[in-house]
Amino acid sequence: MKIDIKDRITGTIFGLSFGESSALPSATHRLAILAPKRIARMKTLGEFADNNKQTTRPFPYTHAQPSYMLNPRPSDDTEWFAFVAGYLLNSQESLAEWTLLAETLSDIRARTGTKIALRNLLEGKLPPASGHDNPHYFDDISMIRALAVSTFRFDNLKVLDLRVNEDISITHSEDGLYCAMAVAHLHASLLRGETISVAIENALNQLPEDSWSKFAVTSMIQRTSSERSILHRYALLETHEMENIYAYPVSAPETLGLLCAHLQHASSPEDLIFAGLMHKRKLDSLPALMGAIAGAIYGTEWIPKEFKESNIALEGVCIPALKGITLGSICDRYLAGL
Amino acid sequence: MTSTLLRAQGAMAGLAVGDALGRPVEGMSAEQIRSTYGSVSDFVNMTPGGSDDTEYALLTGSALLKYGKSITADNFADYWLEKVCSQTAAFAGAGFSEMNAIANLRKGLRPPQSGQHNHAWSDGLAMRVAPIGVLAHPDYELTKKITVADGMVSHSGEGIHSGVVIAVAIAAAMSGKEFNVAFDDSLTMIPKNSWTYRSMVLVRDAVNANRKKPVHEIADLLLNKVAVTDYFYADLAPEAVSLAMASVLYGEGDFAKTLLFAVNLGRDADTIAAMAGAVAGALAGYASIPDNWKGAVTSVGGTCLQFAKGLNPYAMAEELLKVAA
Repeated sequence: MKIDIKDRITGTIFGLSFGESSALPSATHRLAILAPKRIARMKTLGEFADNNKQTTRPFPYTHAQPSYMLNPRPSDDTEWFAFVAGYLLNSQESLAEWTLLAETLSDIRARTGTKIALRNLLEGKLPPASGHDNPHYFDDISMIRALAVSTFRFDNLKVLDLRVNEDISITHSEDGLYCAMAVAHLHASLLRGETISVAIENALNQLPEDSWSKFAVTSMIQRTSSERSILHRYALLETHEMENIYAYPVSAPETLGLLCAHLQHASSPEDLIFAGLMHKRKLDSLPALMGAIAGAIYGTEWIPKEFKESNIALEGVCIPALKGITLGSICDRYLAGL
Repeated sequence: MTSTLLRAQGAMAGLAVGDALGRPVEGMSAEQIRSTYGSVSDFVNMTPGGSDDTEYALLTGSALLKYGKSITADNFADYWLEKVCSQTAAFAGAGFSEMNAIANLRKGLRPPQSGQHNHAWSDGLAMRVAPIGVLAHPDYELTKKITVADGMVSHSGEGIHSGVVIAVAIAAAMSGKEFNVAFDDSLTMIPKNSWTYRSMVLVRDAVNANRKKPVHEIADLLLNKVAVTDYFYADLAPEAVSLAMASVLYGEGDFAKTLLFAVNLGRDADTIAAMAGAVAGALAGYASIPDNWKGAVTSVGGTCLQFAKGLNPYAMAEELLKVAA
């Protein structure tokens, strides 16, 4: 079946949101829009369970507040995508918009690396130092933001490179930037209707030889190159490739490796979504990435109707100014630019 | 005139003393230290002892004793496999960077891949390079080359730049350079567009412009400039190394003054003080380290690296000089 570009773009946006909504971190982040007592209670109940050797632990819950607040709905991934989409589609200048955002730093909820970069900006550090002087320069949120650029500039690689580099260097450097560039080229390639193997090739070409990313991603692809079963790929990757040493599992090379390892065998959107939801340390961005990529390849037909209503709105979980912006309106603006 | 041997002994013992002085206040803020201790001026626990900082420095030193000046990254990796990766017990108090490197080496990865991971910027290399500065002085290029070889096992990027700063500062001090020359010389060996370089310049300017201010004000000023308080951990090499080198500038070659400034900064205090102690020990020489301090660190416990149990940092200094000759 021929899928047109409008459907691929719409699929990217709603697929991203669907993938993110389906994974646990979205609920955890969305606790921020509930009364502060809900977060405090989560800590208290967690301690209660620990102290009493109980395995029943609290899960984000609404109690007396409206249940829509914790329905499967988007949070940080979709909001950071929307932030970049917002200024790109308005032809605003990247650094100026980020600097404005930095001025509201205390109201912003973001990944550690993004917060540190915003503080760098606020203290007068400009890119590339603002993104480089950052312990989480490799945070995988860079790949989500890159998608906002590739959805717009998939047919002009020169501008694509320029805009990805501008946006990502503000908060990231090296492998965080390389992986963002790789995902931008992967996604742009899929939007142009190229095959999965060509798209993966284009992504790998963005990773410098001898880089952490190149080694990690290539190793994961090779490890699973003849494994057709998602379950077996999952087992191979978790056993041989994933680290569980560090407290914050946000490294982009690992996330990109998982994406490519599963993508090379994908024959349906379900293959991608289910694979994304299996890797428990990578639930913050991998399911969102998988959803966006599934949308770019397969359009919107696969997305359940509950998750493609155009009035699904952002809550301002991370960026308060985005509250109320609908996925439909973001989509319309991308489509109008075609 | 301080002899080369005394400088070498000062570097190795100074490292261990700094580690032991800083260990009880590791993870505290400068403010917490003040409200708890007023200021730390001696060991604050009954049984002073070092930790992973001294033990990893002894690992690097032992590798140098085995392979000599022509040591390569592969030699260092083989040495880690033999002495570290073979350990079955937990690595108490280890850093993420070392644990990532151990996991990578055990998987069969070699340098530089073994040093590419989510904590490659840590101060774990800088804390262990004192023996390199001792062995390779007065040759800065050789000092840097060996530091990069050692660093590639467990670090990359800023982790390696910061390691080069400490190793070269020690090589400079070993060669009889003044504290401020050691600082400036170390800067010439790393890229100007690095985070480490930027942080070093910030602290140098801050110390030089504020020497007359009360010591706690200088400490707060420095922390405000380079400490990344939005991050939970304090083992960022550009932060810890610049604070250690700021202590060297502040101490003006006086061992105790340098070390006590470093210890009272808090954060990664044991590593900051270990690095400052190694540089200051090489500047001032072993004789200038107070007796009760150096007497407490003659044998390491092997708390993190079991292979190091019983080794004496002071004694290793002379062996390193023999290999150098």
